[in-house]
Amino acid sequence: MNRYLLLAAVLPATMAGAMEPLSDAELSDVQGAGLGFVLDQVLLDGSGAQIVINDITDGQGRNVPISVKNLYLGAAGSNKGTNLSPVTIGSLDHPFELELAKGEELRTLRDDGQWVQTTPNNITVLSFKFPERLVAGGNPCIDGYAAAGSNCSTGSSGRADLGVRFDFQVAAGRTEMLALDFHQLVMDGSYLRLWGDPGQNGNGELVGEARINLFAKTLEVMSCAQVNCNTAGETAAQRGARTLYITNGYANIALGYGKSQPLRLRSSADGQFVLELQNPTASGTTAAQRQALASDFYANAPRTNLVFENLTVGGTRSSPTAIPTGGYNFGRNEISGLSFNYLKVTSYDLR
Amino acid sequence: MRQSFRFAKHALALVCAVALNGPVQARMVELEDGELSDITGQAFINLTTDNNAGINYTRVNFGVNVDTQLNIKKLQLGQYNRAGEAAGSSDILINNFALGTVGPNDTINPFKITNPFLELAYDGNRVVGVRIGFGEAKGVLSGDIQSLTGNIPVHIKGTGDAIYNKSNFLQQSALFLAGVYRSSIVEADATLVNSGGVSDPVRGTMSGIKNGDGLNCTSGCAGGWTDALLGAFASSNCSILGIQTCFNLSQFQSLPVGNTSDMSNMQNAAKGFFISLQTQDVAWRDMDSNAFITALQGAFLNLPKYRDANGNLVSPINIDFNQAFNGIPRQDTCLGTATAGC
Amino acid sequence: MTCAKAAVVLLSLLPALTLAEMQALDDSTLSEMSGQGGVYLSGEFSINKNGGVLWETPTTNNPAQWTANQRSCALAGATSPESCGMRVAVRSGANAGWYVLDNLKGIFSFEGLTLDTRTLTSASGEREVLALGLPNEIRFKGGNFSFGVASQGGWKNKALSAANGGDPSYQQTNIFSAKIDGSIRMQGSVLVFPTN
Repeated sequence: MNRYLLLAAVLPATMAGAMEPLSDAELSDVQGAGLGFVLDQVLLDGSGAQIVINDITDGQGRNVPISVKNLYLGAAGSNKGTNLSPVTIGSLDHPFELELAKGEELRTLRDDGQWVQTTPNNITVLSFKFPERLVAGGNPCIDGYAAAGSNCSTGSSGRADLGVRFDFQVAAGRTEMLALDFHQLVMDGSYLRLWGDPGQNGNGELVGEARINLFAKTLEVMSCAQVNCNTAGETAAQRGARTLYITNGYANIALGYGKSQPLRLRSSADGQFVLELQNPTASGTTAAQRQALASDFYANAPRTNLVFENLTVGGTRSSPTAIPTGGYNFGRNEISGLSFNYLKVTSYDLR
Repeated sequence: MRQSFRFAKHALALVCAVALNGPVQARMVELEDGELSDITGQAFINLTTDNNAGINYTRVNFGVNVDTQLNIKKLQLGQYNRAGEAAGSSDILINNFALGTVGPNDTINPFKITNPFLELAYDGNRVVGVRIGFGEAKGVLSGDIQSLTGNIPVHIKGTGDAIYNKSNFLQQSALFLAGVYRSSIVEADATLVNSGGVSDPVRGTMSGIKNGDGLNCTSGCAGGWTDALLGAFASSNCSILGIQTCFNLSQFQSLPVGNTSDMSNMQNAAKGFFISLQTQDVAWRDMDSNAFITALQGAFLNLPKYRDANGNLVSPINIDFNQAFNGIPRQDTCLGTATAGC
Repeated sequence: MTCAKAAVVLLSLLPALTLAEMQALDDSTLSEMSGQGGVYLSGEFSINKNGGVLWETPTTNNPAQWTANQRSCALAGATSPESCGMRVAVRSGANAGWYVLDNLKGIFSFEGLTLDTRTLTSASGEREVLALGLPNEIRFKGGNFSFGVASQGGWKNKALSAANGGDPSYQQTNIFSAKIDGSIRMQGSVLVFPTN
């Protein structure tokens, strides 16, 4: 039912496509449980638009606007957005997908390559996912770097360049700019799943599971404190001196494990938000039950990993994907296997 | 065209009215004077700036309270070749890192954090450093520390008993003559050192009394000449009177951050805990003392002192001599039967 | 989210299309037209360009000086008041607070949104898909929205007492708000098809 509503929302009021009736044989083949999307030859150039993010204040309560400019999305090799060409993300066999599925049908890829069920049984889950990673075969998630995995469905033509620039007006007369540029970005295997849960006090609430995978061959963060980031007469070395380079970096951020630790994000009755990951053994009453819950959680819940194979500040690259030389090379940085036994984040008013 | 707009506007307004579920507004009544205005839409993020000695700082503060119990299999920052350090070593490498502990019956003793922030240090228009810090932090930090770069003050305080137990007869006589008895309270400050007793804040693997520092007898020692005699027994090459004074960091498997005896509130929390990356030595503001603390280039971990009920600065890691010699065992950080590595 | 609420949120996002005056085509003209599948759309719609129906725009930006049905949605510290956009509130659970999409307003126009069907071949055979061609350009003027959490679904004036139509216990925390201006150039299509 909801799927048809979504389809109706996508269609304009009048549709005049060339439609032909499906034969009975064809009708029985379509079992649509969801909608697939493919971004075909897309290109996004936001250099003519400005998004200002407000409601972030300074110590005196004055608004500090953050301008988001130069948002772009295109095929890899755009030279930080100067030379955009279109990119196709997703394919007929591995599309973006918005679906309603049963909890027992959904699967998640574990770090060791096994597909496990993480959502509870007997619930209906609204799931939005990026092109999936594969059970077998697949392309390297980061070109030329095996440690990020080789089971991505996105091939070399589907890798994107994405960039954005943030301008922070931190004080009168001082604007700091940070320009982010991703090269060969892949987000396979990311998803957001939502469903209803009786809740901790019997009050029904919306809970979920989320996974954000970011694989990038390079990420450059350039800082500048001038109106335009290209200072006239600047050498490549001077420009490189204010750039932070990450080469072969990936992040697998996992929030929530449906069966025993769903992600709860709610607004408390006093207007603050609360993000919670409960103790997965909370529902066990005996030691044996808790042990079983703990073992299941440690074995199957996806973990968060953040790996930067090379982090260098300053210096220049000889090619768009080489490791820079001439700056401070922080080498390899890694946070791996992060798992929360408990997390509760509550906001409060800073003023 | 106009009509369709108006219709759309009304339709959307109807939709808007339907979507709202709050009670209907009351009728207009006279305003009362003297009502203070309050800005609705308070935010939980704010941005503050700072500067010092030519470096500009921009800090993003998050108004959140975090209670957490987490495990990280490997926390590694700054694995690169550094002059004077072993190849393949890292600025910070901690395996089986955990914040908070698990109590009996799988209850959670969370690590509490208030007001985390992210700060950037600029020299002109170059970013020279970035740090993630906690305005206040309190709880147990566990891990197998392989190497550490930073400022981790350790205070050793205990009775002479443990020292006597580790000493042979000659050493015990020397201690007795110096006026240090089994019942005396002796204290010392320890920092990151190498195995030769030289202060080594970069990729340190040991914490101990650095060369030239000695023990201070704070009570129960004989007479005023104790200090002078004790001073003669300064630590050298990781030993005083042949008693070992440097300890492998890896034997300290659970460390208290702030005063963890009362976890019901944030009293006596450690302020200014941070991890930073910088391309040169950068002075970061210490949240507690408001002074600046210099972080060395590379990756840096700062575990600051905290103020106790009397306002005195106390080291975050307070151990007695028993723990110094034997280490601190790891507390349970995993649910179920496992205690580490989950 | 229940169906009704989901429908409301989705319907509120539908564009109101510009409809030119229509004239009937006679049979001979009709027969000359060769049919080709597809639709080409351009449109403009504005939400709460001059404010909405619930609140009138006051003369100052000081909540304590507003009457019971006035609200200004200008930024903190702004000197002149601003009219308010649309507000959508969703309760996150029984007895919990509300997620709020507040002050949604602005003028949004697009040109060149096309709709077509295409046949594509993949490893599993031929498929008919719906191809939504992205508009060449999307223009925003004064587009604005805030996302936050609140203790109640409807907005209440915290600076007025309950007798005056306000509610001092009302709390809204804006997680972030954004203002969009300018044009975004786009290319490409989104292909939509059912999946098993």
